[in-house]
Amino acid sequence: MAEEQKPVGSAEVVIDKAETKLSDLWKLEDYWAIWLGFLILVVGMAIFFPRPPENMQENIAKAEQAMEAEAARAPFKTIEWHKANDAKGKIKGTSQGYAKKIKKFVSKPKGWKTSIGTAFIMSKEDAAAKGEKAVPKYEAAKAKEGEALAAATAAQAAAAAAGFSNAELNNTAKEAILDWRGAKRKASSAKKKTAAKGYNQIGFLIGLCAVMAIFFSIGIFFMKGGGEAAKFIPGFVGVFIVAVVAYLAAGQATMKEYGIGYAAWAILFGLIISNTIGTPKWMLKAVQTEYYIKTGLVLLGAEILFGKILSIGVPGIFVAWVVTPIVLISTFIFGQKVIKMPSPTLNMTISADMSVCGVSAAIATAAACRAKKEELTLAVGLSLVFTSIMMIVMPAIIKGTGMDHVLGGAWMGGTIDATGAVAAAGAFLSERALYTAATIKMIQNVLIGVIAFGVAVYWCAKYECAPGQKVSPIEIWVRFPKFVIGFIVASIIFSMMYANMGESVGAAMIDHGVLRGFSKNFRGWFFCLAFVSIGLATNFRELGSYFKGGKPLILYVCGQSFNLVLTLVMAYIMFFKVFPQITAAI
Amino acid sequence: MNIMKTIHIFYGRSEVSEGEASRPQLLKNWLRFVCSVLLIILFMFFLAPWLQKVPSIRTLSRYIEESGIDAGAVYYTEVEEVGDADLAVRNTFRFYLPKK
Repeated sequence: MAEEQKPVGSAEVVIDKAETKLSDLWKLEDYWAIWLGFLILVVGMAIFFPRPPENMQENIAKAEQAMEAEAARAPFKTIEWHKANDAKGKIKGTSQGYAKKIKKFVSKPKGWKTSIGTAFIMSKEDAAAKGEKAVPKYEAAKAKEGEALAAATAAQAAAAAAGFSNAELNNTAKEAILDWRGAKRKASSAKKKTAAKGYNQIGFLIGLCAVMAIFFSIGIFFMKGGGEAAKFIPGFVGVFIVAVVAYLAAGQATMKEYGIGYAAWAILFGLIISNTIGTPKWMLKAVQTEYYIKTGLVLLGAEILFGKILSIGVPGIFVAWVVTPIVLISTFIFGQKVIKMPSPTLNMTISADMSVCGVSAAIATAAACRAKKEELTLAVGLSLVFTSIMMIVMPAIIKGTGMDHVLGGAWMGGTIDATGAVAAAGAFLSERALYTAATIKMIQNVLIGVIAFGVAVYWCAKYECAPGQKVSPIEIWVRFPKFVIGFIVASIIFSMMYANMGESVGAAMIDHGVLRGFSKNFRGWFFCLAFVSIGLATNFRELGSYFKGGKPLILYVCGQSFNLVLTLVMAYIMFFKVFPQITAAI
Repeated sequence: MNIMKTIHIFYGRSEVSEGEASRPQLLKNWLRFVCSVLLIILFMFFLAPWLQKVPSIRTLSRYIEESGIDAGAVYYTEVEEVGDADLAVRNTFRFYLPKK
């Protein structure tokens, strides 16, 4: 990533002139990442904020009143409580008509199984046939849901008849309601498949490519001049096409089932091109890894909502915000002192992606400590392999040992790297496991902001110095990766807006509005473009040299083993010894 | 225009004189490219589905296929189920834990 950086050593210390210029604001890539990132966020806010869902406040209040009444009536979450919660969940910016149109425009290619063309085009007739084919499965799932609901209603009525004071009847009702929730989840997934609609993504993809090419070329124009900007655009088209192919591979049914996402495919396709036929020169102009990553990271900053860290109370803080930094720091020290990793930036990137949340943490940390692109590739590769393995093995262990699903969920949420894999493994077990696993992972996701900022400061103030050298604050400022400021400011602004709007409106308008409905889509594309660029500029042989002696693998395995043990112990103490009432309520 | 010239233009190379000499190398490179693509196809359509014969992999794969969860998502905002979980857990805390 940072090719211009000199190796750190007593004689080869990074020496920056402690000066900043006003022109840095339009000449430096870091600032352009901030301007472009904020432009997207401002546009997103301008679209979503003036158009809230109809009667949003009234509907939220209605749902909350129903939940409050049910909570006062019964000591467990009743059927009516769940229905009110579901109704509240439907109140969101992304459900609005305009949000659906935006989604079409920024969407990646659709999923496919064997016919690759369906990723781009599906006729109305084919969609109708596909929907028709899914009907019997939906009918069966709907019938099961009906049966489960009837059983839950009967069990709840029995508990209510006893005034909700009979513990055994209450437990029976609780179990029956959980069974109904599982059946309902299956039925709603099956229903979605019956509603297949025709589409043609090609026009949207061309439009999106044009918009993004112009968007990024603005920065190139100011940084490098009009000539470079003109050369950037055709190169960008090439990089964008490879990114589309990466999304295409990630959307293939079997690959989706293994959780092999776009990051792996983007790097792989880039690597294949650069190491076989070679990256064309005209395309190299748009191989701008850092530019895409930094802009994507500013957008990711907005998704770091600090209000989320209290979602599951104190146990969540301990599992995600106490264990994770301990594992991160221990693994880094272990890598430096015991394994003697040849590169501290590789050590930090692997330690962060293993302990925090995989690819997203690897990107943020690598950018903060200016790791090389090969180091980021290696860290992402390790994370993806272990995520796929852990996603399959951990639910099997939890099931096999009869572990409580709240404990199992917390364990998976704290240890499996990728958020999607955590959700899949959790949902596979039960709704309780999903709720715990997903919430713990989400809190851990938010930690990225603190980790990236901490790593950036640590690297500037401590790591890039000779032993004993003292760095002045101005030098720290000069060395500091400026885009991190945009990343942190975006996080602070969006966290404050989220808090000011109130949890329910904030969730509807920010989390499920500006972020999920707008900026997240661009962020995904930018990261994909960055990974394609990494692949297009990486040499296989160079990559191999970073893996010498298998040290990165040893580091990952040792760190993850420690993570597994510590997370399990902490989750057990928190959810079973200190806060059993939370476990009972989930 | 011969094929070598076209390839050189595609790659943005100005010198075409070495064209004849680099022809075997170019062929080798394209062969490597085709082989890599074939390996991916092999993995995607043969090896990965074959591995799904292992019971624990098959069960989870089927579940992911049926539920439509994006198991490859990298951040919480990309997974619908995380939003559902957040909402449900928050409401559980808000309405149940302070009192019960």
